[in-house]
Amino acid sequence: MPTPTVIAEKTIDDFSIGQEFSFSVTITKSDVERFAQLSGDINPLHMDDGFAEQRGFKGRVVHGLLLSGYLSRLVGVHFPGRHALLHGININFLSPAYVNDTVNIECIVNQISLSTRIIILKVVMKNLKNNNVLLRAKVQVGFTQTNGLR
Amino acid sequence: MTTAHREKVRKKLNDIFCEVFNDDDIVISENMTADDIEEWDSLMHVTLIVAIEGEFGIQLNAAEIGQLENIGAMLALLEKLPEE
Repeated sequence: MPTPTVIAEKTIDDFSIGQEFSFSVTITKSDVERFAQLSGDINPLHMDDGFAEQRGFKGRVVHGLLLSGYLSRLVGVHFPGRHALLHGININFLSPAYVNDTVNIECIVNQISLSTRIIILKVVMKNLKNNNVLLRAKVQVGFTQTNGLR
Repeated sequence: MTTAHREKVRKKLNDIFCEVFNDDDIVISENMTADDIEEWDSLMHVTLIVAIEGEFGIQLNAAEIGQLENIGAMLALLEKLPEE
């Protein structure tokens, strides 16, 4: 999926408990190589099919933090989008993803705190090839406000 | 209010502190404040409030949050909630 060009503009008032959002992404070899270059994590588990296969995987394993990078997009672009401020993520990686897998990022609004202007999203990332759960995360998101300047 | 209820609330709040600060060794006490936990800054305070609201199934208002200057105040507020 290409880089999105439209950013949602949800405010806290646009959310309700149980509200859902999802999008999917296909992970390319180039994505893994660019992430390795960017992060410096060139562990052969992520770079070398033979090395990964010797250790019981089907091929080079997509970096877990590449997958979690889509949580940044979820929050910063789609849900809530423009006004989001990511506070924290609790994440568990449950099964490996491989090059050319298509993953679906599904989230549901779990909690809304009006007093602190924060929402909690529960996220499940699934591999669409076999419906395996790749990761589960709890994401705490606040909202930015303009300071009135400009 | 029963002692059992007090203990249950204290245990739940202690668990929240351990989870939020990712430290299983935290033992809360009435007089404990942000000065006693190094990572307890304004952002973590907000995270604490959200965790308390979530775990206790409540929505706090600004006045209530303003009174939560130490753990004793938190316990006093939470102990007033109806027993589950």
